[in-house]
Amino acid sequence: MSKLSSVQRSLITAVCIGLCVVLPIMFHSIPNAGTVISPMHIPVLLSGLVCGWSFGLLCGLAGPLLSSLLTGMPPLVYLPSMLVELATYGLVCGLMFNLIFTKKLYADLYLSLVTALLAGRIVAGLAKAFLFTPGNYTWAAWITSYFITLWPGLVIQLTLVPAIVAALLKAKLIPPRYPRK
Amino acid sequence: MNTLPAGQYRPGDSPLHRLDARIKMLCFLLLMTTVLRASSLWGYTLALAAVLAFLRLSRLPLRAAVAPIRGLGWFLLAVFLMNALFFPGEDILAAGKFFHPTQSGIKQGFRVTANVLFLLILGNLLTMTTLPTQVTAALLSLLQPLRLLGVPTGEVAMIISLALQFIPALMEETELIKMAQLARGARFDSKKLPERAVSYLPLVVPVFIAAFRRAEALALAMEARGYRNAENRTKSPKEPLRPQDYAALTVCTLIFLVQFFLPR
Amino acid sequence: MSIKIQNLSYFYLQPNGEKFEALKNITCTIETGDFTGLLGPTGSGKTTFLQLLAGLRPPTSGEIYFHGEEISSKNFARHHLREKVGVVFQNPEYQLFAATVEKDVAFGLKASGLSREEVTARVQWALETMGFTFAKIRHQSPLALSAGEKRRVALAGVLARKPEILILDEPLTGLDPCGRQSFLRVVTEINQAGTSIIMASHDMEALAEYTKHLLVLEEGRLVEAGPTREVFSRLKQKEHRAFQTKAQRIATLLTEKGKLPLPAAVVTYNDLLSALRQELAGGGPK
Repeated sequence: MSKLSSVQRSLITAVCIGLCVVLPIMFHSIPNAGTVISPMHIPVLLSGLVCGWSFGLLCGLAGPLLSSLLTGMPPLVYLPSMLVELATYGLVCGLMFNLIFTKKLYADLYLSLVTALLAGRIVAGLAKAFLFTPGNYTWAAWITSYFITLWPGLVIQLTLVPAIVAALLKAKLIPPRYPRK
Repeated sequence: MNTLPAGQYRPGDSPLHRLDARIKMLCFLLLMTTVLRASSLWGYTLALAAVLAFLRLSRLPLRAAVAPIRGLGWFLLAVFLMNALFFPGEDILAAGKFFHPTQSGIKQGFRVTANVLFLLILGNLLTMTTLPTQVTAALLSLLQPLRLLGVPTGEVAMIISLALQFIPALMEETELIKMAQLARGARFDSKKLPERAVSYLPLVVPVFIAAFRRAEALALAMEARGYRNAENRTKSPKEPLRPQDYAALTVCTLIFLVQFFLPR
Repeated sequence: MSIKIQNLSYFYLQPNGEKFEALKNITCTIETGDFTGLLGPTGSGKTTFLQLLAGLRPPTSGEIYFHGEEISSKNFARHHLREKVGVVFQNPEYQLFAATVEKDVAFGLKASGLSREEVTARVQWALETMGFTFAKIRHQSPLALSAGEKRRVALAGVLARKPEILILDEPLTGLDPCGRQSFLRVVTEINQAGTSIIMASHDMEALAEYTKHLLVLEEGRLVEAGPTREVFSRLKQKEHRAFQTKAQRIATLLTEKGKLPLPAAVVTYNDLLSALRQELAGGGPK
């Protein structure tokens, strides 16, 4: 396998969207896992990394939307800010991974992930401040919700996503980024 | 598509059940903005009236319709108190060392709790009166205008409907993987953070491997059958809108406009 | 020490709200140290039965007694059961995730309290029991192995925890004849070392040759249970066509059409071979 075909990209994105619905249900039964790990972030980041920015964006929009409509997680009240956050994750992650080539897979991965996770939080914060709840959104609220309560999630995503990418590479389910000559 | 999880859908034959799903989603979008735009007592009265009217139209038992807010009582009370006691404001009612309830704080608390309540009920009404298949079909048809912006809507529609077909199988597979990992000694309840991150690996890695395998197998099958792309292929005949659909949309737009022009 | 199963039933709730009865009122006993086979066509409830035995699903009704204790009762320590019962699932990829084979096999030993050296020794033992060369396999990625190797690594991961009971769900699917043979031989060795084995399969030849006791499931009902040979003989008497080994069918054909009176106790190919020898050479091997 040299490069993913467009059909392969479409199908990988489809399963990632499916996992956006399935994973929260799964983690729901493990105490605290749902809020700490934010399981929906993982497939969105992955589809951006593996398939590119447009597919990441689609997964970030369709995943939470379908999940909310089908399972009620997240409740529709929280959906708009989550859509903005996850769409940015998928988009930025895909863009960065296509731009950065340091010759080291893990460096590329971490740089893309960190940029995406920061960008998503900033954009979602801005959207809350100016669009959804204008006037009564504060710096303190932004810092608390996206960095203090969710920082374990940040660490977990930075651990899990590269591990999954490595496993997919080993299982030859995605093409290598730096093929050995 | 018939094997989707039934979700919260409750079969019925109410006017809300029979409303065209596309129109229903637009109406809900309008009503939700109506709730969020509300700022005065009149605004909230209007929003309350609209929510109550929809509740009545859905002919759902009240208990079921408000199910998502049951059990949220303490949470809502906490939200209300947090806002009432800590919201900064000039109009302090009673000065305390830590607590300083203000009039604007109480107003803000009322606003936040009312928003959450109304939106939860509205969202619940939508999912309870619409089949998941109808929801997605409506979603796909509402995507159509994006074609003008250069979005490959056919491709998007195909991906979303494939995703829906994958869900039941993925759910079953994930359940099995969880069991398989429990059976070999996995525990998902570690306290320390780095350990916790690692403790999720046994669950998450096989789930993605299995999902990507599924995607690969179907991609091969589709390519083997000469599939290229989805543009201009997924055209399903559309049901025409009926007068009552137009009426519902008009009413909701009116409610929205009234809210928009109410004095703040 | 045995597993006693009483009036066990299980149903799944389907998305449309209907019940699907996977297991119907099963009563049987599995003795310690036994090699028990579980025979049944696809969809007969084998996997569900195994998941209930391992305590991974609570029964809808009925009881399972493990060492005389009821496993779904509230004061039964579930993790205790998880330590004593090892399960290898049908798809080995469900159980593999770590970066190297060594780490993957060692995973289940994390909470065991063993020292690092003891863990390494145990991992080496498990992998060598499964027929690997430890030095060669330890640093490879489990996901890059062949299907047969993946299955053996998954089994090593479970074996490393030294379970008292080993449950194998369709372990023979996807193995070539050679891999199947060596897999069955290893499992027999593990059994002889004292571990009880419960193996679900629709490979009747393997079950007839290797297991001591046999449970037969059909559409969620336990239709036969007992020593393997007796069960197959009874199934033959009942003229249950779906549950006869190929050797049994050949023997029937030879007796009825070929006028070669073979004993009814022929179940495995080995039986068939020695019976034929006796019949054709007139008086057994010389």
